[in-house]
Amino acid sequence: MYLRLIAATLCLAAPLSAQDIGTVPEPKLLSHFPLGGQQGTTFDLEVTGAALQGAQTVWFEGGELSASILKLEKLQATSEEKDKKPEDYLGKAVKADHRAVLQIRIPKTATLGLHLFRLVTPRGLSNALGLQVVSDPIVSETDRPHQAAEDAQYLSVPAVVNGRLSEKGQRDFYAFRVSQGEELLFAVRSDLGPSRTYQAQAGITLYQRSDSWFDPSRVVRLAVKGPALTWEPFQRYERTRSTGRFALSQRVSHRFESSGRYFLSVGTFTGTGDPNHGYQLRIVRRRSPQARQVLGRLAHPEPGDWLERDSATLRQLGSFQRPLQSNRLALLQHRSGRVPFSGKLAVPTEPVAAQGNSSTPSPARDSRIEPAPEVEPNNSLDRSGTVQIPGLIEGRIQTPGDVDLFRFRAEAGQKLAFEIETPGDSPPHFNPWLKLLDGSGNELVSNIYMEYGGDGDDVNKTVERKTIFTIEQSGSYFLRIRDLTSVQGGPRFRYRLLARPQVPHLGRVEISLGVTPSLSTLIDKTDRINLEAGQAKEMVVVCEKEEGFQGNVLLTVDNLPPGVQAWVSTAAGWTETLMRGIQYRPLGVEVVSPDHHRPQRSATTVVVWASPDTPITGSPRFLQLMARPVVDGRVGPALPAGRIPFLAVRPPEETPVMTSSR
Amino acid sequence: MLLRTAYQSLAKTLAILVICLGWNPGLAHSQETAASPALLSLRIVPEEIHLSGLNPSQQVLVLGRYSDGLERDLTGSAPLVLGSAEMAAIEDQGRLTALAEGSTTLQAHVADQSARAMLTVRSLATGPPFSFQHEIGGILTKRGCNDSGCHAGVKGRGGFKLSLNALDPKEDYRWIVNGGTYQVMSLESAGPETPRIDLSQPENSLLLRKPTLILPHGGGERLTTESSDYRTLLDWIQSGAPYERKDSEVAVEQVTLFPRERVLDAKGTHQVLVTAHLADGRTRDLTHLASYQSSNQEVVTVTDSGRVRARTAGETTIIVRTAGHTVSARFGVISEPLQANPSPPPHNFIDEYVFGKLSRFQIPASPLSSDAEFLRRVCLDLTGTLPPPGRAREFIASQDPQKRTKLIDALLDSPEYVDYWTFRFGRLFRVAAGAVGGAEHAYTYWRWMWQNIAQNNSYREIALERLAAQGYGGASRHFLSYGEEAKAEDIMPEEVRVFLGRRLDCAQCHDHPYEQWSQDQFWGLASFFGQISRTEWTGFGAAVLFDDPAGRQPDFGESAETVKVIHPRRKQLVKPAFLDGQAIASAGKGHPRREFARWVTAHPYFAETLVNRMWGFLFGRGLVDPVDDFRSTNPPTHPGLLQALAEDCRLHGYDLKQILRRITRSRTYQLASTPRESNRQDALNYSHFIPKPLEAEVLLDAISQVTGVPEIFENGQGGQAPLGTRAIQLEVPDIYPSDFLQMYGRPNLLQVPEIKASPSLNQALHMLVGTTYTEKISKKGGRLDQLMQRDASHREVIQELYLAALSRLPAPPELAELESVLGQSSDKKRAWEDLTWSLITSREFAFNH
Repeated sequence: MYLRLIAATLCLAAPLSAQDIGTVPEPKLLSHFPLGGQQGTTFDLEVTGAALQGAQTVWFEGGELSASILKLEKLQATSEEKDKKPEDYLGKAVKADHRAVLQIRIPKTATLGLHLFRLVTPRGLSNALGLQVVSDPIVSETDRPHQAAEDAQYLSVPAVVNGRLSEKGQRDFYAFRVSQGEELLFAVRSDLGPSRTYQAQAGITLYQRSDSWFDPSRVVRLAVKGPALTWEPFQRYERTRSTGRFALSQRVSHRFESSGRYFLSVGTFTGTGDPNHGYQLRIVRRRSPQARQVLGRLAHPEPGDWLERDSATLRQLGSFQRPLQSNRLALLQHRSGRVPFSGKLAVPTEPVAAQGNSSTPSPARDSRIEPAPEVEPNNSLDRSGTVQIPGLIEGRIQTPGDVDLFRFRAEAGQKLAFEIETPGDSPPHFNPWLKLLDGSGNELVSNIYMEYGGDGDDVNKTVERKTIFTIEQSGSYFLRIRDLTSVQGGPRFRYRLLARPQVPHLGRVEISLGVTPSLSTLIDKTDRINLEAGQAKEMVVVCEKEEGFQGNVLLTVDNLPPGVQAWVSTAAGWTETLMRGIQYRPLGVEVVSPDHHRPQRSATTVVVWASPDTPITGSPRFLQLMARPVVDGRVGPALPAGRIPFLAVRPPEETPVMTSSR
Repeated sequence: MLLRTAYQSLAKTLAILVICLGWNPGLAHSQETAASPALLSLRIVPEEIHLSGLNPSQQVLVLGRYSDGLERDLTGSAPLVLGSAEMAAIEDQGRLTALAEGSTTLQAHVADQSARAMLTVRSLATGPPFSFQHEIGGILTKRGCNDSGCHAGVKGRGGFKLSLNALDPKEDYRWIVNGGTYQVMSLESAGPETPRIDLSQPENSLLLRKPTLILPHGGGERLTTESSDYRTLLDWIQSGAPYERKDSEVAVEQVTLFPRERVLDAKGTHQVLVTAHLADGRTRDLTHLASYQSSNQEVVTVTDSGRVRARTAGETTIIVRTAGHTVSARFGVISEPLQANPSPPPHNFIDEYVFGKLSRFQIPASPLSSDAEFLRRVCLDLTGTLPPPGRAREFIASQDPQKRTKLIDALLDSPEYVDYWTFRFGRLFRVAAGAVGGAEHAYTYWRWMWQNIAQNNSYREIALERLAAQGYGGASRHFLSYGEEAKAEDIMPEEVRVFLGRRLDCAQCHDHPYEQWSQDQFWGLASFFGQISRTEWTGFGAAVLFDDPAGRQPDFGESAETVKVIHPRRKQLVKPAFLDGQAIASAGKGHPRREFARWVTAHPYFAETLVNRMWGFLFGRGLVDPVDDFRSTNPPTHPGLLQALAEDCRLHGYDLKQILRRITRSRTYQLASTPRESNRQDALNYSHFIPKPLEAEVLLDAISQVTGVPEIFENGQGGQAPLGTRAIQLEVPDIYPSDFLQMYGRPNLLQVPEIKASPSLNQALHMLVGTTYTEKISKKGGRLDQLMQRDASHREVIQELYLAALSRLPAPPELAELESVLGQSSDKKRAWEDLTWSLITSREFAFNH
């Protein structure tokens, strides 16, 4: 398998490398410190990066914060750094050659959360880094070493600390006191550059004193609930910068059985560390208002995200927790293309009902599906609950091995969709296993999907949040749901199960997918567009067509500056599509039809072109990609499909080499 | 690299001093030997003889008990006399053949002692019907035809296949009567089928002509035409080569030996009695139908008829194969009986078993260990950690009579215990990135292991959880191999080996060549693991394990059918079945691994495997050794103790700490490692503690501890373990490459580890010039540097280093000599470095004794 993996890696990596040859490097931010600040404060922030020469301004995407550049200096690479091997996910060397000091101003009214910022240079916009705005005062990490419990820095709860993991193997120790029964929430966050994997994210370990016969001062780790490692969904802006793995626990909630002095350490799983490795640590009481603040959550999330399915990078993560609301059918209908184009850019606050003739059964325009709770016992065919079509059940896997069954009636030819939401806990912890059974209890289909994955010839199974099926014979059917394992259950194993008619519609639309050298991991390569006059840049846009949607998709790029145009170019071919790893390949694709779980995908190239007379843009702006379903000659509503910051820049020879200072 | 050039002579001198003056495992006082023994009593075995059927016979033994404690076999030299001489014929060597029905007495007389037994003969004309397994299979076994090296090899031999020791008589009958060539991967016969018997001309049967060398035979002559076995085979063929009537089959349920254990003097001999216990409650003497083998012919030899003869002092087993069973008896040979047997008073049942056997085998125990020796031993065994000098001083000086017990409890409650046993079980459970396909899986698995040890969870619960693990976290990672789910045929043998101490691997492709495990048993057990599957979440990292009736994940080119467990010979889907062939009712519907886990943890093998493993950890060898290789040909040295420990373990809820507490509190564990003259050769009976080399990780940690310089563990991902992390604390050890650990025996965890430490040239060179032994000594901030800062005297340094490295103070001559040698050096720092080097390269340091 591994030989095949290597061979495939070489084959796939080559075109990408060729594509990047000869391009002028764009400005890139690699690290910053501190990672955040308190509302109503002003402080200095240090950033490092590459190709930052001539940086002029700092651009906050949300617009609430402001900053000025106090200092910009070029860094001399040490001989050790020169010899360092490339660590970028694309195999390119990314080394900091500039350091800047910014003065950050956070208004008192600034939204709590992560604020994205970029540097604006003559060569264009940099990638984004995040600055966490918190409500509590921030404590500075002590200057003295505190890598052992006996040297721990004392914190009084609540506390927010900006710290650094400056050396390899470093673990920073902090001490705190608790009362008996007190429950604290610990969180830590790193924001690392492209050269780091997710394993380098800082994590938390809790300790208590041990009274060891060998060394009475020794501390031992506390056994805490929760997974040993965390898998975090990436913010969209982060996808260019990580291979997406795991970290030591970044959020830990613990109830202390005894009062006293305890300890925590901040470190990384692989023990990496360097002067640019900053972290922000926060300790709050579990029941305090601050506990609702989540480190790393964007203060200004991108509007219009359609979480039918997350990006292929994290194919399912999060999608089981998208809300199945009462107006679910109307929302889907809105994306079906059966609504005339209204000419508006923004997402309608209220979905518009479908119009015109359709062969697909349509729900009433104001149909709402009210949830109904499951009634136990319902764990066998003869004691099953019932559900109407459409119907929404709220249930729970109460104990390990609990099985819930629901009976419904369906007619021959009826096209049905079954969707699951898991609001309490989601995969990989709660993995709902849904089966559709005929009246005799024989399985017709389940929500386990098999596809080629890994290096292309392995088969992966996934648990799907939606399963579609066409009924062949009128009669009674059953939905059977349980956890994938027979050893889990409890209060967090809640599910909402929606049984409804299929609604062919436009699903998720994604921009600029690429493929990493490790294959099968899709990431957004493009998080910004910097164009010189006369240059063009391509984006590949992948559209997902759900539940048999047969229409076309009209793609437009809005908010273009003067002189810049966007055109839909040739469709990305099958080979290219496959190479980019975006084509689902169900097991036995030739014989398994239709696919009960995955949409059909198509890839289109959109070219953004700055005409030769394009003026330099003074400040960045977002290009807004809109997708409109087109069915039966009608254009549906405009659906926001993503936005990309844009800057028109000077050619390299015109770029002034300058260094600003205070 | 520090080359110890100018200081080598001093270092050498110090090394010699440390070795010669320090730990000296010399001989304790020898024991007095006894005078000629007197016969005290006589007995006949069996005491009651019941014979029936056609030509029944019984081997009889006459045994004499002597004043030196030995029981000797006097058969042959003690005449046997029947009350009614016409009832039976008695051969010289004690075989008695019934001639007439009735009851009578059997008497023996030696000197002034006599013994008596009862003989009853019934139904001579209407004995049990012919049995192919017993009659023909018995001959094939006795003559070695169905030995694993002959026709019971994997593919048979010369195109003729038999089952091991007539384990599968129906298969044997088929190959003899129908002929044909055995195929490993198919039930079909390969090639033309040539019967091994000729019913029209019985004397021309290959079954007779080959072993008598009338036709060429690779196995040589196995029969003569005059032998009774030849006659039996010919009679069988002449009578139409019957198998037996189905309704008259009487299975041999068990085969027992007499004696199970016996001590012989230097010239002693002893006949073995082999008795079959039939399913209908009767017994049958198979002494003349068994095959005998000595495991160590230097100690004893055994004749074809089962007479054991002493050769040199030692202990070994006699393996007996008959009627599809393999059993063993333990024989010891002593040079001369001892007059006194000075074992310490027993502290618990362990001592009773161990000292009891020592007494029977006339091996004296060494005295109890010194406090210093015990302290170092128990600290290393329970925590993998040397006691700090201060604690060592304190313990040695303490007058508390309970100090050893208190120390054991303190160690079991220490976090170092958790570190060490997480490491040990982590190794056994193969917690490694390479084994489970990624550091993230290994870490999750490690933390599960750590939590179980820290909370001292019952080992039964640990096993249940691991065997039936599902989901995303903890033990479920064990079932990943390179990030994919392990295959049933790979994972099952490991589980059986780890939790039941048996090795079934061979039976995957064919019936086990040396044991009774069949291929059907293998696949029946494997099938419990045939539903393991996984869903992928975010790439390799978040695989969720579950049991899918549809089977495991198909690989490229596999269909939904090929992922199920298919018997390689029968080409049929295999249903989960336990060793006795019983299938579970819920197969395919429920959670078969949970059924398997319940069966495993309720099986008597489970507890005995656990206690044997723990015993092996502490003593360096198991009561059965290797600890996970229980088999009929590898019996325990102390079967009674093994059972008692297992029972104790069950009674205490499979509590790991309790097992350790029980063993370390025993006097057996606390004996000195210094042998006596008369127990020096003993390596099996725990008459003295046998030093064992420190595991690589423990040795490295010990060097770091003595020098006061922690090891730096760098990984391949640009990071390193937190400073001060010990080798036994590494959560995912294999992501930290280490030349030292590799050199000293860090195991490859891609399979169940087997660690056999053996010294190497690399190790010797590393001791001389390796960084671990040299750089740490002189490192700033280390122990010596601190002693320099303190301006310590030579005496203080010697004492501190001795306590740190050896957990003892130097003996007065040692101290005097070392002070003198150090005093002659003009460079104090270098002299101290050389002393440190001498200590950490000494055998006393590198061994736990």
